[in-house]
Amino acid sequence: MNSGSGAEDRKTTATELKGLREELWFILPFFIFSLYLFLGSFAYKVEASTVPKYAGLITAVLTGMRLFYICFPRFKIGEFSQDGLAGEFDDMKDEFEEETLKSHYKQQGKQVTFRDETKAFAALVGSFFFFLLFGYLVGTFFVIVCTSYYYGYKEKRAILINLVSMYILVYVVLFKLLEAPEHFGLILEPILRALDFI
Amino acid sequence: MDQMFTALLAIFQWDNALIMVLGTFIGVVIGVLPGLGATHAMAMIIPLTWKMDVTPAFILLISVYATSKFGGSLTAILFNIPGDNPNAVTLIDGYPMAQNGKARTAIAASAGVSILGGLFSAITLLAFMPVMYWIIMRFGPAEFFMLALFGLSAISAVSSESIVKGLIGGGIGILLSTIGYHPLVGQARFTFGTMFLEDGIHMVSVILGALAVSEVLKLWMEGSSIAGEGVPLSGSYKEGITAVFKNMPLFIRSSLIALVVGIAPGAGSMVAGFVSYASAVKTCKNPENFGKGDVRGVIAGDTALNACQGGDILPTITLGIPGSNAMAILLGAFVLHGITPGPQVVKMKTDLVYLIIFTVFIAHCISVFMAVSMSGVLEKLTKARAEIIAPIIIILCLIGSYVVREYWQDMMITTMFGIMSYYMKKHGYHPIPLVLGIVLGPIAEFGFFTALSLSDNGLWIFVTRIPSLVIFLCTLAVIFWPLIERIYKRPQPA
Repeated sequence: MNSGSGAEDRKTTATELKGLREELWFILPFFIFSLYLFLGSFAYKVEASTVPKYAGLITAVLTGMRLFYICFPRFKIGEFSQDGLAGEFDDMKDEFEEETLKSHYKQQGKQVTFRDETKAFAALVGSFFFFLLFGYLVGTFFVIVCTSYYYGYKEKRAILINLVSMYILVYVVLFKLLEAPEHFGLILEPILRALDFI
Repeated sequence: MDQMFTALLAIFQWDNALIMVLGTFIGVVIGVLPGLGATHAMAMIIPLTWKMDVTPAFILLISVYATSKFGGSLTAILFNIPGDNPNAVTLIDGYPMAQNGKARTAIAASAGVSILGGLFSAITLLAFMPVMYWIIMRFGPAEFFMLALFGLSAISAVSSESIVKGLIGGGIGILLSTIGYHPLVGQARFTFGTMFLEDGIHMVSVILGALAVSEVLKLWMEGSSIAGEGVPLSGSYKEGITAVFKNMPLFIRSSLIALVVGIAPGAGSMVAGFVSYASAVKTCKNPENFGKGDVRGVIAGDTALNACQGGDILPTITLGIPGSNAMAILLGAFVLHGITPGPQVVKMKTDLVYLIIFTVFIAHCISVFMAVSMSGVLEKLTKARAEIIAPIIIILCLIGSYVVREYWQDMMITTMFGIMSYYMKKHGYHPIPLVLGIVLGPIAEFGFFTALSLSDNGLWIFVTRIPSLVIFLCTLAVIFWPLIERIYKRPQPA
C-alpha cells in the first residue's frame, strides 16, 4: 500500500517537474526581456525611462524568483501559489461541476500529448509562412487545403465549401468591398510585378 | 438624453439594422459550433470592422458578442453538446428535458431568459451609466493613472490561479507597451533601429494571438466534439415561456448573481452560470428534481449566462478593465478605431456607450427568433469539425493583424503570442493581464506624467486628490486582500 502511494507521489513529482521544465520556455525569455528593458531604460530621458525601469525591475524580480523555483523547487521561493479572489468563485464552480455536470456530460476533448502540441504549432507556423510568402489573398487557399490535409481531413466537398466561403469573405468582402491593402507576399509579389499583373 | 436618441436612431438606420442582423446571424452560428464562443466570434469579426465607421463596427461586434450564448444553449439542449464551455450549465437540465419530450419547452425557456437577460443587462448598464458618468467627469490625469494601476492590479489579484503570475503577465504587457516612441518626449525606445518597432507593438496583433489563436491551437489539439444524434423537437413553446414568468423570483435572483460575478474581472459567464445554478439548487423547492429535466435549471443557468453580459461590459467601457476574453478583444476594437479605452469612452463617446447598450438588448431579441426558426439548419453545423473551423479563425486572425498597419511582422507577433499564450494558460498564467498591460500601460504612463506636470508638489498629487486616493486605497485592498484574509482566517490554537 505504502509503496503504491510512494510510486504515485514520485509520479506526481515527475509530472510537476515536467511542467516546470515546460514553464522555463517562456519564463526564461520573460526574465531576459524584463531585465533587458530594465537595464536598457537607463539610456533614455527620465520621462521615457521611468515606466520601463520600474516595470522592468519588478517583472525581472518576480520572473527571477519563479526561475529560481523552477531550478530549485524544494526551496519554495517563487512558488506563487496564492490564489486570487476569483479563485473562490472558481472553487465553487469546480465543486459543483464535479458533483453535477460530470454525470450528465463527459468532456469529449482528448488528452493532449506533446505530439498534438507540436503538430498544432507546426500548422500555425506553416499558416504564417503561407501568408508571408504568398500574401493573404493566395495564402488563404494554401492554409485551408494544407492544414486540412495535414490533419488527415480529406473530405473534398467540405474543403471546397470552405474555400468558396473564404473566397467570398476575404477577396470579395475584405479586399474588394472594404478595400483591404494588397498583399501578395515575399515570393508572389516580385513574380506578379515582373509579369505586370500588379 | 439626446445621445440616447442619437444611438437609437443610428441603430434603426437600414444599413446599421442590416449589420445587426448579420452580426446576430454570425453570433448564433458561431455559438452553435462546438468549442467556439464569443471570443472566437469577436476575433473573427475584427478584420471586417477595420475599415467600417465606429457605429456599424460596434453594432457588429456587440451583436456577435451578445448572441453567441443562445446558439450554444440550443445545441446543449438538443444534442448534449455545449456550443461554448459556459453553455455546459444548460445541458444539465436542458438535455434531460429534451429526452423527456420537452425540447421545445426547454428552448422556449432558454429563449425567454435570453431576451429578459439581455433586457436586464441593458437596464443594468443604463442604470449605472449616469453614476459612472458623474464620477468619471471628476477624473483628471492623476485618476486616469490610478485607474490604470487599479485595473492592472485588480485583474492580477482576482485571477484565479495566482496573484503573482497575474502580476508577471501584467508587467510583461506594460513592458511591451513601452516599445516605440514615448507619447510625451517622442524618444524611440528599444527599437533596434527598425521601423516596425518604432511604431510599437500593436495591441490588436497581441490580443488576436493571445486570446484567439491560442484557443484555436487547443481546438486543433483536442479535435472537435462531434454531435451525436439529436433529440426530436417536441413539447410546447408556450409551456417554456409560461415557466419563465412563473419563476420570476428565480430569474431576478440569478440575474443579480450574474451581475456581481460579471463585474468581477476574470470570473466570466461560466462561473456565473454555475454559481447561479448552485444557488437555485440550494434555494428552490424540490431540489431533487434538478438535473433530471427541471425547467428551473435551464432558467437559472441561462439567465446568468445572458444577464452577466451587463456586468461584463460595464467595467470594460467605463474603466477599461475587461471582465473576460471577449471584452479584452472589445478593448482592442476601441483602439483599432482610434478610441482610447476606459473613462475617455464615457467622457467623449457617450452616444457610443448607449449604442452598445441598446445593441445588447435588440440583438438578443433577434437572435432568439433567428435561432429557433433555423434550428434545423443549425443542427448540421454542430457536426462541423475542428479541421475545417480552425483554419478559418487562423486566417481571419492573421488578416486582422496584418490589415491594421500592413506590417508582416504583426502576423508574426500574432503567431508568437498564440503559441506563448497557449503555454502560459497551461501553466496558470492567464493572458488577460498581459493584454491589459499593453492596453493600460500607455494610459498609465501618459496619465502619470501629465499629472506630474500639473502638480505643484510632485507625487503628492496622487494622494491629495480624493478620487485618486480612493482608487489607490482600492488598489492596495485588492492586492493585499488575500493576505489579510489568510491572517484573519488563520485557525486559532485550541
